[in-house]
Amino acid sequence: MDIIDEAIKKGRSSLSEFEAKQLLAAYRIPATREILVESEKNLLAAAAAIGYPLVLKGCSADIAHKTEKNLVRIDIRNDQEAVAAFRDISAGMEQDQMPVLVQEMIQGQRELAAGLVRDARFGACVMFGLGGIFTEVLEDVSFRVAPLERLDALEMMREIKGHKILTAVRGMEAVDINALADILVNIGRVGLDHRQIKEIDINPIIISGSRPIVVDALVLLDNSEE
Amino acid sequence: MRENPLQTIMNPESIVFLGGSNSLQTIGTAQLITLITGGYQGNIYPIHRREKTVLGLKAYPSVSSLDKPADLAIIVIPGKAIPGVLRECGEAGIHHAIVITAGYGETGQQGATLQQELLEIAQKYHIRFLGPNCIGIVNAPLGLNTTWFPNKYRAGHVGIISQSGSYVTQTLTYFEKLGLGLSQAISVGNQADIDMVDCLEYLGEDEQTRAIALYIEGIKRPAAFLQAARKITAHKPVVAVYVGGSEAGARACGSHTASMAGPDEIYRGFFHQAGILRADNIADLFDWSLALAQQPLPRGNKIAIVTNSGGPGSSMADEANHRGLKVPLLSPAVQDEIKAITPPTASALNPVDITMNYDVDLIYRKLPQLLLKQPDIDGLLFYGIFGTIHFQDKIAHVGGPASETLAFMKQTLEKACDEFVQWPEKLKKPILCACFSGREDNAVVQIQDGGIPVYPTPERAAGAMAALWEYAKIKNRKLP
Repeated sequence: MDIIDEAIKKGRSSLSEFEAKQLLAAYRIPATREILVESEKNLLAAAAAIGYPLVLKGCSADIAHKTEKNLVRIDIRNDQEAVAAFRDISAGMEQDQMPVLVQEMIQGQRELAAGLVRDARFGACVMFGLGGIFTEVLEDVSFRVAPLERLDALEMMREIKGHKILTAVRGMEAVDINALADILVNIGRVGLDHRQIKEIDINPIIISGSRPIVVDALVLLDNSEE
Repeated sequence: MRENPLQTIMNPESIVFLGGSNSLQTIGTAQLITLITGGYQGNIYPIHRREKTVLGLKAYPSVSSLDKPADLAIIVIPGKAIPGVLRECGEAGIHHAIVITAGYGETGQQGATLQQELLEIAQKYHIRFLGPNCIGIVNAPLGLNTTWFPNKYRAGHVGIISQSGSYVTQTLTYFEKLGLGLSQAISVGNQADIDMVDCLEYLGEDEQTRAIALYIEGIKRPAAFLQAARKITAHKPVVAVYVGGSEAGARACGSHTASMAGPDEIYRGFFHQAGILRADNIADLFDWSLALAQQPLPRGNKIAIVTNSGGPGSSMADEANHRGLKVPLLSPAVQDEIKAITPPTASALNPVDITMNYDVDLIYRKLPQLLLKQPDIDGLLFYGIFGTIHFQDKIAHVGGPASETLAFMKQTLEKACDEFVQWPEKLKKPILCACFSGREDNAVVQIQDGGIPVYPTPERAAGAMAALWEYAKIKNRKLP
């Protein structure tokens, strides 16, 4: 895939969030609608196209964990807030001219996570677990070796301790587990198709109604080989 | 479909043996003795440069001096002579071998080079081989045992594939005590050519083998292993101990996914996908394989417990609960039925505790039948086996007509046990027992030989019952 080849040619060790989601979209993994904005003059047109409320994020392949660097603004309601957030983020970025991602804000109380890792013995492995801050705090995750069959995807969802979050709890709809299974199966395919990908973090996947939508993604590349 | 080389290796009509002599100073001789004395009906051709006969068999000076090629060569000679012998086998038309000799890939780089040389010679001459650095094979129905351990083992339905030779040799006496019967066992050694995937596919097809036990230290072809295992575990249970070791170390993790991908998490996922039950230790590996090979699968996880003593019954119930089984209260109607046939001191809840008495008709016939006939009971855990051996000293001490009492007790017990061992097949539900006495107890012998496993502790019986339920879930797994 061109995005990956070009990134590796440039000696980069990761894809930007925007690129990562294009890669996932090619595997029919549903992600947020978003537009990459290079300068302030394109900001409001992008905001209008996506529609408020919005999320703005500094977008660079060099910035893996944006939240920790304070480069994310959420729940932006109008043009005025958008401009303020854009300037704020730009000021926080070390390089000039770093693009900003204008992203739809997905509403949902449940956050899940998925990912890919390469095990020395078993090759590409897919991860599933609770998302957001709970991923690291609870480490409630399960793994399967790619390629995943649909049954594997469904079983790995049931395997986590917090699997009840997928059901109709507290008046929320049950999660569309078939859509979620497709995401997990397809992450495995990404890993098998692109050996240059070292690791993937997809976190959070926010459940909007019943639909899982990828809100943030990180793709790490192995550029040690030719 | 290509033929699995193990078809010939495990079922040879003739064997050429390299490394046996008339002196017990070599391990090869010990192995040849078990081969000769195990009941194997095929021809055995020992090779010896000087001796005319080896251990009473006609010896041949070289592989090339055989009249016609043997099906299998067993090689236990020093490593430096093996390349030449392997070529000779190839030229003589022998296409299957077991290389017992060690000193190859397991020893480091130099050994790995030697191992590669063996593989290249084998490939050139179209020889498929097990090993090197293995202890060989056991095929119980054929009485074929190439290991150096004694031939006192029981034929049965557990197949074993092991990366450690000890688990198919030194365990033979342990299996005998546990009442575990073996179908075929394969020590895979360094897996230079034939590997665990080939073995798995072979035992998957073997009709004598009803459960497969694996001891794994590393998986050579994970994708092929997964594919083969998935296919087999849909109809035949596989249990594994995987000593993968932890590759902790300083792996730099850029992503949260990688930081959580410890070896154990990945193994758990892999074995789950494969449909393989993962045992934590060797005792569980063989306990579970035994139950899976001999008992029907439960349809659900609700288990009844019959005991003649409070402690063991409670231990069984406790362990069953820990391992995902349920020990439900029996319905009032069933409790009434139980109360009608048990002594007033008994408990009719669940565990059903008849307290200490020797009503063999009650414990072996009436209660198991009553409980297993309940539609909401899926299996039975049983404690309360007491053979007449526990009474004979007392009876002898009293003397006189008491000896007739002993004969009568024996007869009654045998009849009751005979009936007891048939319940699983008749009622299509599993029974597993525990008894602190082993095969020195005549009732234990009769029940084990009748096909119901008897474990040395209550927890081990309950753990094996949980394994039956875990495999039942794997066998029934399908897309919703």
